[in-house]
Amino acid sequence: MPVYYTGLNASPLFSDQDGIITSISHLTQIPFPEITDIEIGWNYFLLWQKTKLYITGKISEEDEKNRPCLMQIPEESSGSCKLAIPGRDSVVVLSTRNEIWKYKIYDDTWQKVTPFIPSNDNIQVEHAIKLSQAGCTVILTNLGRVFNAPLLVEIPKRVKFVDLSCGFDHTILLAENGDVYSMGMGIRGQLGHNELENCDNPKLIEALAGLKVVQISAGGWHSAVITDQGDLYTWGWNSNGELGIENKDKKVYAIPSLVDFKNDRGENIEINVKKVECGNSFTVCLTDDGFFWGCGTNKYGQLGKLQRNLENPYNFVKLDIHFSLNSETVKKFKCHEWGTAIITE
Amino acid sequence: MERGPCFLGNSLGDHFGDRLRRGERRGECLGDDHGDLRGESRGDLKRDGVLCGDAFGDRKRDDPLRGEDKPGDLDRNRRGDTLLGDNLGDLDLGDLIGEYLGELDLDNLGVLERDILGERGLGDFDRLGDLDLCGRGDLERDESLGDLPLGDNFLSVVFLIRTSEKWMNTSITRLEACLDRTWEVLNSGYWKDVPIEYRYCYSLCVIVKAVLLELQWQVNAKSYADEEKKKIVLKNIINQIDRGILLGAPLLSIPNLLTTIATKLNNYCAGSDIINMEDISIDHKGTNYLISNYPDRYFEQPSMQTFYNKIFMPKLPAVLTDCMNHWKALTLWKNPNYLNKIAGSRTVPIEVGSRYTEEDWTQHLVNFSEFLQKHIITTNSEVGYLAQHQLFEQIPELKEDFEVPEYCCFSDNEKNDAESSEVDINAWFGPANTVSPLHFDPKNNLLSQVFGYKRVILYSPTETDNLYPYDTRLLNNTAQVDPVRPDYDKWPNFRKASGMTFYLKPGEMLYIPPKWWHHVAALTPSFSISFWWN
Repeated sequence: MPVYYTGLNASPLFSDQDGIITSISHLTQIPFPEITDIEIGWNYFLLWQKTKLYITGKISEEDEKNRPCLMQIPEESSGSCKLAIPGRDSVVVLSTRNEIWKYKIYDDTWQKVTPFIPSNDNIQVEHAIKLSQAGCTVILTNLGRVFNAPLLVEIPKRVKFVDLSCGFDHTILLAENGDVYSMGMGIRGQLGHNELENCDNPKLIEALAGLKVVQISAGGWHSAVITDQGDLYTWGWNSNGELGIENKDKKVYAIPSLVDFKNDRGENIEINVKKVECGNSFTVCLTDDGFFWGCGTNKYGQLGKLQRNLENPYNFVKLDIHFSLNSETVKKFKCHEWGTAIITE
Repeated sequence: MERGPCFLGNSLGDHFGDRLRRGERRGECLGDDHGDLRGESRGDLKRDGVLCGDAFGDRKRDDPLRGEDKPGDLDRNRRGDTLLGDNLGDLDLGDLIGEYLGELDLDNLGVLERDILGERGLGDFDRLGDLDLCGRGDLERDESLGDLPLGDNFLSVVFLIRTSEKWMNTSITRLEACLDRTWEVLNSGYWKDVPIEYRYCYSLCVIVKAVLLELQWQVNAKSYADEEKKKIVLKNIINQIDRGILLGAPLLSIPNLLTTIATKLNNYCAGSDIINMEDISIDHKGTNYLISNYPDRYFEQPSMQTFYNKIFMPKLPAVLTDCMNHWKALTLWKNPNYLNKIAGSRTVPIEVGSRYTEEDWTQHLVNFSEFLQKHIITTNSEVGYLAQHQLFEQIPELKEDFEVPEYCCFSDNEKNDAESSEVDINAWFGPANTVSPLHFDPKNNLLSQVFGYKRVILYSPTETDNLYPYDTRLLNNTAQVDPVRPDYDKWPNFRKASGMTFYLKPGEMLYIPPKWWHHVAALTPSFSISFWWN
């Protein structure tokens, strides 16, 4: 199951005679044996070989150490890595025993995070199921509660969250019923509340109320969601076109807006979006006919090759995927920091 | 102080939140328009990084030249054949290294990094960690050279470049990556909370990028034979440096580095970039009859004692006349050719849009000469306002044309520490009809009119309830009432508010006490300097 990557690279896995290739400008297979998945850091990758996790990138002075190194939680009783979230200088890891660990990349040290999810007498034990880290670490539990580690976030009554995603300064949350909530800083319109105020606790994005959202993603200063009708909505800071909105005069969109897709002739077309992922200042989505589309900055190859020759598209354009790919073979794709990866079956 | 601030982050120090509000209000930080500013090579206006070479680990540490040459040799070898050197005489690469960077070449950035970071571990400081400015490993600090000891990576860099254009291009890409990454940090959270280290980092990257751009130019020199192209390269370098000044922070050991380089480059460009512009036309016929409604608040050259007793202590607005007659700015700045010569190639932040409370308001980084030509000399339907910008930190030469008024030495604070006695100086330069909506600032202000006419309407802080301040965090120092076109149905209590109107003429200063509400409108093209202090 090859994994393909495009974007900024600091790993010696992609090198030529002159050294490490800084920008991978089109989706390129990651030359690592038996790779099953990848987590994208800014200057490093985390590579999965089933349950084994490797780190590679610019993390040490010694070139040898920048080649893929196995990451192992030092306490055997904690189990192995189940989830890993790359951050600026640390990787937050959830172990198979549901313990949370922090791996400090530059120190090569592990630190066990003191458990903060209360154990109670409920029949169901509460544990983390999803993590996201940017300015802080936000954790979603199997009971639908959210921790801004280590504090429990005050959430509206009877709301159960099923997914979350963080940008630099904001977090968006998907509730079980398809509502979307946001919290954090709103100065660039990230929260979608039609104002620029900050919000300490999750607050319903009213503009999306009534729509059933099925998938969410946040990155940098923007967010994107997909509804059960296959519509894509974006909001936040359109600094580089990452919202897929062509107007370059206005940068801040503090309310979600439906994104139009256009064909080569500039005509609006009907399209069903299946999945969306936000990088720091770009966005990629997959439509039900198997095409990938992207918008925003492509300075370091984040979007890979485009079907039209545009440097930093402000509206969604088709990506040029030049290996054989049909929608069945794409297992998933992800964008993070300055890169995009496609994981195939 | 007409209003709050560019998020831009000027290099000039962190200001209280008020300053930030101006920019944060719209979420439009400078940074965001880098797209527009981009020059020919993509992204070249953003950030930078030689460090690049290092950034991802392919540093050529084993370069045989390393350690054999000394910056002096470099200086000798290269003087005269570098872009900067050739044209600037005293500012070639050798000088950049020897005179300014001298003690700051790449190897030492590691040391600098350590100095900057102080006790903070590198591990948790990824920005510089990412950048890996240079061998951060086992450098020994050379005490004799102070904080920025000399190293010779730069030489290696230079020689490598001579042999490898590809290396150079890769390095620039990496430097860009470092700059873009730092830019992300500078734009996250609140400007005032961004650790200063990231701003030093930005400045360092800018310096190195300036050097790399020059070297790149040299590598390609054959293909850019003509002067015009050379100038484009130079202007691009100036733009980079201005971004470093605006977003970075002055390096502790060489605080004037960026401003000095920018001034020299600007002067070089100014020699061949003369535009003949007429004096800024100021039609004040329409303003002659305008009389301020508080004639007893005019003071001609008040003594320090009078200022203290009748103005500063009672915290009452007053117009001070004849206090700035000796400023050269009064005559020189009306002449756009003068301003263009000193600042023409520089990049400055301007605000576009009717007023900062409106949706159409935004901030841009523009070339100063273009700003003069598009917004000041000619009438433009779009008002462009160089507002609340610490222009004199960016371009210190202009400081020679005025003085900080002595009145600013009185303090409201008991303690007389450096911070409380600091005077924050901002430029406000724009065409007729710039408006700062009714708002207040936390500091004392002497708004000094260099040329042109302004109308200022003031309300005491006791009138606050009649002015209907916005209740949002970002705009809570701004009133919803427009005193010029009052809507009494919407804001009935505004009828009860009593205000003071002053018409400021060239050479007059208005004292605005802290927290006093003020609405400022330019009646003609205008240049004001505000002095804020505690």
